Amino acid sequence: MPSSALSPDAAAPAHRDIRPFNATRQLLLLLLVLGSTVSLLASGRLSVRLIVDGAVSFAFIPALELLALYVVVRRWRERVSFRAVLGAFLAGNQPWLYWLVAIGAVFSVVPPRAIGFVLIDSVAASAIAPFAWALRLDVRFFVDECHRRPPDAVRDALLHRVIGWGLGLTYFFGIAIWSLTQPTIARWLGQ
Amino acid sequence: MRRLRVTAWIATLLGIAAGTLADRPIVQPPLVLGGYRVLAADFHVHSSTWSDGALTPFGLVLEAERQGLDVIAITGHNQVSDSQAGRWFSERVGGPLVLTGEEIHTIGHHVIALGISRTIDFRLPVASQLDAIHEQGGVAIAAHPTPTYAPAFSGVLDRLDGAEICHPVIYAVDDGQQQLERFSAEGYFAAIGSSDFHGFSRLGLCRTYVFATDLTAAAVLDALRARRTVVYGLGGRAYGDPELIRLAESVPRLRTAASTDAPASSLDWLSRVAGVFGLASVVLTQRRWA
Repeated sequence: MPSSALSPDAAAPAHRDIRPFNATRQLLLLLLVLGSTVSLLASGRLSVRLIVDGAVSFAFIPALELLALYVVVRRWRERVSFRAVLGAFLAGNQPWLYWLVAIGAVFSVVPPRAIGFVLIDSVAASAIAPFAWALRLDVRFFVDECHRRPPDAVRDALLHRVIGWGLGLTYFFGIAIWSLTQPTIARWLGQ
Repeated sequence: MRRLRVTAWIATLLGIAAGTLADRPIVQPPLVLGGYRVLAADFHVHSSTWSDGALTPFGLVLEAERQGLDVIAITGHNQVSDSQAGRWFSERVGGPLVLTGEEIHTIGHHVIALGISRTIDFRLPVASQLDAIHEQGGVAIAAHPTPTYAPAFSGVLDRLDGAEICHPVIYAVDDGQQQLERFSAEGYFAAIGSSDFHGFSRLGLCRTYVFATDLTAAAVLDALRARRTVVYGLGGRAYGDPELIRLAESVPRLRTAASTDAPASSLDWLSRVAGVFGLASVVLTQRRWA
């Protein structure tokens, strides 16, 4: 368990985290990093204008993340306060925050004309690391904070991904998602 | 730890302050050549609403202004609503001219439809799509017609008004420029330069200089139909109407303005270094939830 994303008292019961401030702070930090990455990618600098616009553009990510968590938590027989676990859950975004800052740094120094498919594909491929790390943190969150059995925690984390990522990708790519994915699916199927 | 956290936030705010100070619009006086108003345009731009971009339609309008563009088309994937939102916003803030339109996005081909107000059914055959664009008084442009997408236009080349000859693919692929040149040689198209901006790279990285009678949507569409455009591609090579290219050559800033990767200023560097260091430190030192 990477200790950097969970506190030393990660096994503390969920009811200890009742301060909405924690969740709000995690949300604002996520939005700041999302907006800053957009600003660095689009202009090579951090400007208030682009940070705000980028944060608005990608506000659907935390919104869907929380929606998915709500759906997962509501499925449980045991009652768990959604508010109480929010801050702890959002702390599991830390791998993504590292990744976003890293790609922002890279794109801010690469000249626009030098941004080729190799760089874009490399960045996309590198997302596997924060994806796996964040998944592991979420499983640990469900076990430690929500007292779920490990197999159930894995199922919860996967269900959360299916709901959150499914809706997020559908929104992000819009109606073009079919024409974007169909050639890849056809290739996989050998057609 | 507390001191490090404070330092991280100070660095982040310093980076944001420096970047915001450097974030100034490029203002150019109106240019008239050969009796035409020369407009810098980017006709292929994506917003974050349903079209895998990174900026809202409003943010695109402001960014276009920063990049010295007179005209943009926000081309949502198979929908026109975000171009209408962008136009509404730009009219209120005195921003660049926003053409309504979309990118018809299918498996075999992509078409930029400009000057339309209703979405074209992407399931139609390509010929019917092009006809539908023209029925609405619009202009049809072949988007990045590389060998992956070019074959779909076989037999309907005469129904296209323009073709992208400058697109980021010319920088990303070794023979990207040649691929687009080969397609353009197959018909009589307005030369188009578009950034296909999704949030990385730069808005206006590839741009079209439109020789229009006025700064209105109708005048821009008329100029495209009449092929009155000039585009600078890889290595600064000029494409478009030979007479207009000759006129454009008399204004060196058109060629240099086409470059959006001018050296970064000291404020830019301060923003990058302090901002990235600060953000990374903020993330590293954030308080845990408990």
